[in-house]
Amino acid sequence: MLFNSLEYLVFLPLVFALFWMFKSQLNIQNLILLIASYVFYGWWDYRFLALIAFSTIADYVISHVIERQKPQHIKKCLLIISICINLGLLGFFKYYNFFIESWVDIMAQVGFRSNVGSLNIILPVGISFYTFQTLSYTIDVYRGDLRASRSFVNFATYVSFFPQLVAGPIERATNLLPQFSQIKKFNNDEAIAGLNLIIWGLFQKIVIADSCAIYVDSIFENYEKVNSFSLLLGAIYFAFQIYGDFAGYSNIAIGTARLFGFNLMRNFNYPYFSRDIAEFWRRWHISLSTWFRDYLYIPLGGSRSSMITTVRNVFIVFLVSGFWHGANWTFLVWGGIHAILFLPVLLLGFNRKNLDQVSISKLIPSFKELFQMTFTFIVVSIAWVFFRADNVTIAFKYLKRLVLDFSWGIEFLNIDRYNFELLLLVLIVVLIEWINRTHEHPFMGTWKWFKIFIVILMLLTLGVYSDHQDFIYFQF
Amino acid sequence: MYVLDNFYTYVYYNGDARNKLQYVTKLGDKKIDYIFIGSSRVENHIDCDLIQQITGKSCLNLGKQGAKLGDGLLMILLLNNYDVKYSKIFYQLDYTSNYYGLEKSTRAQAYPLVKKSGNKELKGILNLSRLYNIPFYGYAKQDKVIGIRELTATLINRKSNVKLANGFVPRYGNSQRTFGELPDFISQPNEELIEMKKNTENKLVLFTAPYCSKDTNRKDFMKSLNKHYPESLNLMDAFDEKTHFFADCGHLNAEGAAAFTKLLIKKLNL
Repeated sequence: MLFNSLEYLVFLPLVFALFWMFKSQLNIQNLILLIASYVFYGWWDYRFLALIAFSTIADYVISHVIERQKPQHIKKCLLIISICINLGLLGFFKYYNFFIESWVDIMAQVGFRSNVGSLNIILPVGISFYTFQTLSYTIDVYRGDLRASRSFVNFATYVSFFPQLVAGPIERATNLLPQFSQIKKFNNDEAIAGLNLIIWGLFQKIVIADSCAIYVDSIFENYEKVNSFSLLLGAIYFAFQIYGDFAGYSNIAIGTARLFGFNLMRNFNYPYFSRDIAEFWRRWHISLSTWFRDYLYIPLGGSRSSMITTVRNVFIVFLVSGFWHGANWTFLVWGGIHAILFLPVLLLGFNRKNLDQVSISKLIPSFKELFQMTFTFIVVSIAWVFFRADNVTIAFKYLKRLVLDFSWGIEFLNIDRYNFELLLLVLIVVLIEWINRTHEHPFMGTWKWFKIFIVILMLLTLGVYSDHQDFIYFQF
Repeated sequence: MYVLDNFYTYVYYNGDARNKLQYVTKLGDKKIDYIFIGSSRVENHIDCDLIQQITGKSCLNLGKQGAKLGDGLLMILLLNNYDVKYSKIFYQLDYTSNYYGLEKSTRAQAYPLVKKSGNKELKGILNLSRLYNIPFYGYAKQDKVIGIRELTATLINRKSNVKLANGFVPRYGNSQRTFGELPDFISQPNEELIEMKKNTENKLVLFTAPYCSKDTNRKDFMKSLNKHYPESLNLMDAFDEKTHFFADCGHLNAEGAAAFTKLLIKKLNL
């Protein structure tokens, strides 16, 4: 079920009403959420439910056994089993064909013909997200940071919690799991804050991301025919498409969770106002970057070892992060580019230089800050071209043409709706975000209801409904 | 949503026409002698100015790119519903005769007009789901055609790319590139079209437009077409010797269109 679908428009109020009908009856409320989450997930393909149920049962059982065991080597052995199960599922469903096809290609390059065939596998929606969530739970139990969940229903609901099941935020068990044991009291302010986030998230997705998507798809399909200016716009629009798409999803997820009295972690914090690449990664897909920091980068030694180890660790984290996004070389190159961009900042000790919000308490940034933000946005956008392109060669050709074509005329692309007015819309959104960059969403302060009214009006009139787009991160 | 819905309907209904469907509703009691309905093979082939020059009769080209059979039927219903007087309607048949229903953009363009008219027959041809009863749903769902962009264009009276009073859009160039082969048969005749032909007291004349001889299925298709619509004037092979008339295998260029218009004047005794 998609957040931007009519089904969800019926589903959410129904679950909301049922949930609050059983106020103070925690077990029933959790059960309602569990059933609702399975309905939500099964809406795509009921066969996926077996997979999530298996993953849930496996981690529930293993975490309990880990907790009961005293010898460290047995605990470690059980943790490895859990990791193998989770990554095994992920590896099979997401990466099997990639490895087989890459192997066949490599063999063909050296003159061997390999007969290993790829399989017709459907990638279960959100598998990368809930796999990482269950992994972090078992690791936390192993480390002793968390007690194994006593309630299977609570744990199963934590794994499948529908607001964040298919595209995050990737919640840590330490944050979310205890919330299933707390009695919920309906809080009007929280519910309104949740609704505000949902509205803003829908705006980011349906107005910004989906409008940009129409243009981006056309540019990337015809990249060999269009000029530098259109290619530049294509890259900029994709930067806003992916941001609107994913930040929009996260805001809807966080807002939905709030309607039920749950607090999910913030996933985006105005990333395009970052002054360097390290700051960008503290503001973009926060739940994934902190996951990699805590469960991969630090266990590998982080930046406290030698310079070579640090460089290695940075590359491992970014390449794995790239690969996590999808089974394609484009994502690996995207991860590699970010590692290359991140390294100088880290090695020169500037990675924690920009921790606060930019130009705090000032309306206009300084020239230096503006330059830093623009530069970061440009390098991030270049990397996005690899993320979006069908393959690495196309990405290079796209960038080569952008730089070398050197024709900057205004082209009219044969798109019925959006062209340069889209740039205006994007600029307006940047301005809105800039003004509200210290807030969670723009519906704060004075004129709050008027702002909500305008955004709803824009949602209705500027939203893209005829070319319905899935959320990009569903494929991951 | 209710307010927006009514506002959009009001603008599309009362604003200047920006498409052929809207134009039909603005004709009022004006009498048009000849009306041509069909797909791109009408829009790109029939030059109404030329017909008017030669015959002195008024003419309107209501052809539409990618039109299906339902588009033409809807156009005739609209003409009748808005009391447009006409002497003859010339209805062009081609492979789209196999496709029932409406082309997406026609459905969208017709939506505000049908909504306003409240005509059940027109509503029926649009075949809208119940969701369209939700205020503004129809405009949101079809935003590509009747969304804010088109609304703004209507509000500021931006002129349509097509000269609506004529409706002819010429094509240029010369090739016999096959853009999509004809099917080898028509599955069945359209009962509604045949019924309409009877009801319009033979004011409805069926015809076909030229296709290049390179199209491998043309012969079989023509046979099937003659079988299902024996009264239609078949001109598919009219320009087999004139390859320079074709912009591509299924469309004539401006020169070909002028020649075809003249041929129609002669064959149809206009």
